[in-house]
Amino acid sequence: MLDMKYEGADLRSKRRPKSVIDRVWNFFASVKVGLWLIALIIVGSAIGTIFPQEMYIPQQLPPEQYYLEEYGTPGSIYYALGFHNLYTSWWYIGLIVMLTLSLIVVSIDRGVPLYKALKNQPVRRTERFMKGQRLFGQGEGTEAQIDEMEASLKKKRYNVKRDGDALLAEKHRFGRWGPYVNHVGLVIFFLGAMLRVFPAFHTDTLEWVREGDTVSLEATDGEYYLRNDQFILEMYDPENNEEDAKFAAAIEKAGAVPKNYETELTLFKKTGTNEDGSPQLEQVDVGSTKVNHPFKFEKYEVYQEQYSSRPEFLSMSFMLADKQTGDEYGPFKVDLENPEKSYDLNGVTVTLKDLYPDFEVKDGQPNTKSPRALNPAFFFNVESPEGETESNLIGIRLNVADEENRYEVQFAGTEMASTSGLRVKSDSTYPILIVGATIFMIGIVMGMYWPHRRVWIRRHEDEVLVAGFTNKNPSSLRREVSPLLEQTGLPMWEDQARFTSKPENESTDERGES
Amino acid sequence: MEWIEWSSRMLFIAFFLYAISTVLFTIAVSGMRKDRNVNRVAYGKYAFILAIIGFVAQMTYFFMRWAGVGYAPVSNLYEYTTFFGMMMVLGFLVVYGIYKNDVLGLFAMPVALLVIAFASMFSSEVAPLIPALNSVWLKIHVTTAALGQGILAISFASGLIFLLNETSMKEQSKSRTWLEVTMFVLMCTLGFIIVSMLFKGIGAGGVVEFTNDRGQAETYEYFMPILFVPEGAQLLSGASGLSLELPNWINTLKLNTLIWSVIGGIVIYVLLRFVILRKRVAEALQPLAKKVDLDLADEISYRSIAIGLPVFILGGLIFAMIWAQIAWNRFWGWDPKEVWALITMLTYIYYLHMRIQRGWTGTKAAWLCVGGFGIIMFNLVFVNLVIAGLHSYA
Ligand code: HEM
Repeated sequence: MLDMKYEGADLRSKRRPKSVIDRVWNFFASVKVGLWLIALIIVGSAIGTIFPQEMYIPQQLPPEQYYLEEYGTPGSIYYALGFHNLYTSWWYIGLIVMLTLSLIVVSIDRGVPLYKALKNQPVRRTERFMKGQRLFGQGEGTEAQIDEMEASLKKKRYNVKRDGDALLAEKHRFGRWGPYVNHVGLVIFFLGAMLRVFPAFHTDTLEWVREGDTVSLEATDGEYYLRNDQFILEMYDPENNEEDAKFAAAIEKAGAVPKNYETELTLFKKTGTNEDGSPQLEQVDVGSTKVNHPFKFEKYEVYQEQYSSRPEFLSMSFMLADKQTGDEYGPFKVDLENPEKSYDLNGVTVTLKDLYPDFEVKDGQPNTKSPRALNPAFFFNVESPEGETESNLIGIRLNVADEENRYEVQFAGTEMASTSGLRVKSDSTYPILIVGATIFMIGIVMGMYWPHRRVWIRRHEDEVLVAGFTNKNPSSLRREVSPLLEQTGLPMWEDQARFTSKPENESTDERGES
Repeated sequence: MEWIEWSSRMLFIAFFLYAISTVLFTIAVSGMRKDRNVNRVAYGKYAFILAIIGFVAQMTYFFMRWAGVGYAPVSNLYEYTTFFGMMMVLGFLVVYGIYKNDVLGLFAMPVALLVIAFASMFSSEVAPLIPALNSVWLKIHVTTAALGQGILAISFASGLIFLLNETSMKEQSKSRTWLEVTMFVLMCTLGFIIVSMLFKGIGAGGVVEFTNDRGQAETYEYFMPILFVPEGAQLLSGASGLSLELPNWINTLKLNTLIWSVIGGIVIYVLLRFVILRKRVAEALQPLAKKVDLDLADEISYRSIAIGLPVFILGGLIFAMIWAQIAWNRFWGWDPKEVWALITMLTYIYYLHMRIQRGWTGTKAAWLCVGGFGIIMFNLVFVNLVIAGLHSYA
């Protein structure tokens, strides 16, 4: 049978190679090579999922230790072979690059000749050509019958061309371009993805913004500022919310289940600089960002990615009690960001000697773990109107003071703020990716849903020859056209490439019984 | 709550209808022993109609549950797997509509039944939707991907038909061996279902406590008799019998379930092979598969891939990327589920290229169809339950 893949067109890759370029061309134009690449990518990708990639493991432990402890010796080997970063390894990326080259070369190598061949195809084909088709038949017939066939094929929406007593009917030729269209889409997509290695094409920063704070967005080079107006964490509440009541059993098992993470925010644009160096801001927009609903402005997107589960303290207020007289002083408020040095309360002076935003005791000394106001403690000196000074160390569940002290410092209130971790992103490769993916999808649909079908009929000597070709589903072509052949009385065609069961199996076949 | 109860009833009815439909397809294909003159064409038609009514019943389940939970019910393993089974039935209905072949029903419907029964082994409890899943893209992406997979799964049924028809059962061959292995794997799935129901019924489980490799105390709740426990585990309730201690990095709870499923599969297989059929399971099925000519079986596989793959690519990769961008702010992150969706696509792409360019039709192509379905099931079961990732529901 004839190889109909490219209508017998002359492919560059099938010529004898003359130069190195020819050899490279032939290598990438080879479908065998392309299929090996796909097979290797399948195997490689699968290996990468045996254990989690490094980016998904917890960061407390060094990776080599983590893989050993969590997955035993296999994990250790996995790490040693570099599979913990498989998808960014040189060989994996190499495979993708080669696949892209292969797609480009193969599509030019075959697409162009195929296009020319289909554009200039003759209506009258040789006897050899027709006999070489999978569907072929020959026998008696007249030109009138061919005319009748032309009409019925047209009814089935075939494009019919005539050349005397020869006929060519064709349908869905554009479906043949499907593979080429999808390959081109894929190449565009891959090229877009490869552009992302250049930092100029995208920005990506995580901004931690405390409620009430305004930050300059690094991704916009300081052009825009964002204020976190409020962070909202909503939990499912089966007891008080009727809608959520149906989830009560599941929530009891799982503990609290979050319903919404959202940051309400205000966007500012910097218009200039004040004399003291602070930025002049103009409000541009208000909105919110929550999971699955990023906030967008210009080319940027702001995602609600994280939040600090421990809110920070903005301020703490205290009262001062005179243990001797029972008098109370205050309250006074210590702003944790800009604390005042001393507070005058009707003659009693409280001086803030030391502030530990994230208190701990280290080597017997008070200390701060971090600059974030997560667990603040205060070291106060209290000076009575008479000029006597006592000291106090006060924090959450912490009050270190001399028993004899006249004054006692007591908590009177706190102001707290949550912190949102907002991911600010922009990516100028998105349009390329979207175009690539769209073309790819269109090509796939074109190629898979519109099979290219052709029927040739001609008189040869005193017989009529009938042949059919389709790039997919020959029996569907048969089902469509055989009844027409029968109606017109033209010779019936046969499928020349049918499978045959192994004869020894026929004995178990019950077909004869019914 | 009422919606949910009714939806479960509808699912049960659908399951029942599918089962009858399978029986009718069997009669349509083989005829019953005593009555050789049954009107096979009519039985095939009834079977098809019952499959359609069953599908409508399952759609009713789906929308009732939707009304009950308040979101498209495709958000945990129970819901998703049930939906996948329904999409397999839809895939079958579409392909049957084109080819009107009863043998296909005989093979496709039982696989769908198995998938739905398997789904019902997972907890059907109504759970709240976490913010990451709360998006229109949940329904768009998951339903399209499942529809694609359901249609692709039909190529498994027709691939099996091809192989059963074509493989000689008289002489030893790789095909014969692997066909029997495929049958055995299906038996193990059935084994899992039967064993789970049995042990849950008699309450033959137990709870152990142990120190995990992060040094924290953890408990495992077994629903099957305990065969394996982590090192240094202590029994809190139930009987441990002869349980074996294994290193901590092995999840003995899952291993326990797996081993019991395989034991169940072995029992069923041995019963079938040596007591009931007294021949290879594949050999027993062969006469049924012989009713389809090879070309048709091969073409049905190709057709269902041609129809299913674009749907799968759209739902499982393109919509997936769009949603991943919105929810996780990256369109692709090499999460295991994503990678296995890519592998699924590449496997069928491999099939298409091998077919069109290297003439792989017939046996090799049919094996690729079996393998492709294996990958789909792997992505559904294994990636969710064993390889934990962002997508893992369980
Ligand atoms: C992930 C990568 C690829 C995808 C998604 C893809 C997709 C497709 C699809 C859907 C078809 C149509 C198949 C059919 O009609 O049955 C096709 C055809 C084809 N592909 Fe690919 N392909 C890929 C990679 C490759 C590679 C690497 C090569 C070669 C080196 C290649 C060469 C071809 C050829 C020669 C055809 C046939 C074109 C024709 O019928 O005229 N493809 N491709």
